[in-house]
Amino acid sequence: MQPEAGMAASRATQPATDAAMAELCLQGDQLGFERLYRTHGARMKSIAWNMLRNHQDAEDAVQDTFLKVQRSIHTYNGRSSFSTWVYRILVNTCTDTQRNRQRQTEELPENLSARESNVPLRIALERALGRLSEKHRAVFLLAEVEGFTHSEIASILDIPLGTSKGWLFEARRELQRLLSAGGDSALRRIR
Amino acid sequence: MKFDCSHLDDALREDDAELMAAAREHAAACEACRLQLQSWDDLSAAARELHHEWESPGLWDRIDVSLPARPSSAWLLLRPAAPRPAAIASRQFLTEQALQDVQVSEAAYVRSIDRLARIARPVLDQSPSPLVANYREKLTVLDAAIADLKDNLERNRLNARLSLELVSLYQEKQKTLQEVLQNATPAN
Repeated sequence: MQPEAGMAASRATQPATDAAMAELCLQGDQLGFERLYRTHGARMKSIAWNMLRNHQDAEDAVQDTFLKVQRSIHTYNGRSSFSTWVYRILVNTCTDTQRNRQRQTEELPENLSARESNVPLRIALERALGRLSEKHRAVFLLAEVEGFTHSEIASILDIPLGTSKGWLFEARRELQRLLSAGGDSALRRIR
Repeated sequence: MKFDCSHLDDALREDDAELMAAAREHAAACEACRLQLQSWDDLSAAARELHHEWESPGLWDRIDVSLPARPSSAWLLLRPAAPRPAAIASRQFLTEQALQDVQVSEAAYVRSIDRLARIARPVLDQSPSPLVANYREKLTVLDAAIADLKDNLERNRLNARLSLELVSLYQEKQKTLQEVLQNATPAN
């Protein structure tokens, strides 16, 4: 079995276009799902973690998303990109989990990476994000944390492009207000 | 349009490159707008640090075993659209494309059985029962026979008899693994 396993692993890490992945998944070929995981798994986990604040819940949400993708792949109509469609399922899965959650949330680890420069603001931001409405938090996470464009966000959240821009603006304004509250602003403290 | 303080919110809302460039130019000479833009940028920089990656060594395997194998991915005789080995034997002019189809189907079928084997492995490795010992022995024999046949097939890729034997061995392995999971899994 080893040769096949090795071959499958190397084929799974080959760059795959969105359409090719969709086609493989539609055919029920496991390779399509593996490529989807290798290409988008890390970002999916990050989104899930930021929505759920718990590593186990985040991994469970990613796993549930793959099951839902397999179950409903025949409903994918190609109007949005395949990965955008998958992220939409992920965000909905996380939203459902948030509403029925059992586990406690976790703090982000302190020693994330060398590029990290502003731990106090980051922690304050995490807390402030928890106080945003669901829609504002989702848009902010997708745009500012994960770097999706407004057009991608509009597709993931199934909203008009202008709404995505408006919600992001409102989210940022609200975050600024929360971070500046009490005159001891986290935003000002860092300067 | 000459950019002034009243346009800043529009620029921030629209997130348009041209408008933002005008806003930054204006902010160079306007302290209030400069502070506002600085705060906006600080928020973006802090947000990027919330992207969080960590190792999940078992996650793909967990996903892989949880995805039910689709009947359409079964190999050869289990996949009506694929050329059947008997037909292959009778048609000596099998095309390279058709052969590739068979190989893709085979790989998908083998991966499905590998997934089944991974699910059954804890039972096979840990159970002391004689029944499981029998299954273990049978699977070892089947794996050895599969390896032998695959070696032979490497040397003669168009041999239909060998292909059929290989299919039947894989089906036997699949059936055995299913029996392990049905009969030898401890009750919860």
